[in-house]
Amino acid sequence: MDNRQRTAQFAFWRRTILGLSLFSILYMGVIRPTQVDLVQNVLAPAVVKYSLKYNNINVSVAQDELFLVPLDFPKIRFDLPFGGFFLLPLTLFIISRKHQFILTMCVYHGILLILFPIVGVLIFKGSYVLATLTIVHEKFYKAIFIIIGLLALREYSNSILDRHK
Amino acid sequence: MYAGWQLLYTFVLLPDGRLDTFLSYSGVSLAAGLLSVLGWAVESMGRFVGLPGSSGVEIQNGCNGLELIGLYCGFIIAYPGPKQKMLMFVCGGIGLLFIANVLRIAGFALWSYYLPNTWEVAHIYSSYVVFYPVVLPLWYLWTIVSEQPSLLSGVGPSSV
Repeated sequence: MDNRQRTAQFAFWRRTILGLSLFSILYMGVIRPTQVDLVQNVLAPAVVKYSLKYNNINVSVAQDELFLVPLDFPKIRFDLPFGGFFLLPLTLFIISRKHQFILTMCVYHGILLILFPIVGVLIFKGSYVLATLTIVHEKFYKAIFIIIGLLALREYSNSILDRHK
Repeated sequence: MYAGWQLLYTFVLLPDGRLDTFLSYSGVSLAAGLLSVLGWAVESMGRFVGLPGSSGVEIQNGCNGLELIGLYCGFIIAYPGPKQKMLMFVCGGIGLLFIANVLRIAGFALWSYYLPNTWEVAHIYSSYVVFYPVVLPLWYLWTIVSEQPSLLSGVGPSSV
């Protein structure tokens, strides 16, 4: 690695660390408090009220997430799209300048925003298949976007080295 | 792989509880030992660890890093690379995450003693502070060590 490559790599990592620091501040200062407020004051009361019609599923409310707790099935977690697991990959995509992935992830989270209430209602009505899919999907999509973000970061780092050869 | 792990964790490991219980108990025991060695008086039993006079912490199943260990290993195994190095990353990562969890539990015990009013904040953000700085760099490192060409090459235009 020559001096130009080293300088370019240093600038890249400085940008990465700065981006991740900004992500942390934005998440802890804005995103999470907003999510907690939304869940506690808007979503939870509405879902708890709706759940009163059903005696097979209880609702458990955590800080920024809701759990549907069926009597005879593992609990199903719902947290708001466009939260920390949106912001972290978004930061990685911005650093690595992968605009297409940003768009894809925005669309994905937008679809989740529409789908989650529908899926919730269907789970209340007894769809355990959807409950299983929701459990699987919940960790899956979060991990996948972060991993794609990391791979994008790596590719961008490599492209810097190639460009300064 | 992630779907398989999530199903295994949710429908087998978590209800069974033995692996979770082992991780919780051993984590608490090691955290108590660590605090003792460092000079703090510690009360510990089963899942509970705390400093005398504080409410202490109880490590429940599902809160001991097992789910994250599965997610971590999932990527290392799924992303192609030399088997020997893969094994090193899996075992080393599990070890590091376990140590990170012991430090987290010890940190919780201290926090509940010295800053009990802000305990909830520590609990909420602990995983971001403790686990992510371990998992994300290790994942990144694995993409380099695995010596694979970027799997994203050719997936969409990268606008620079």
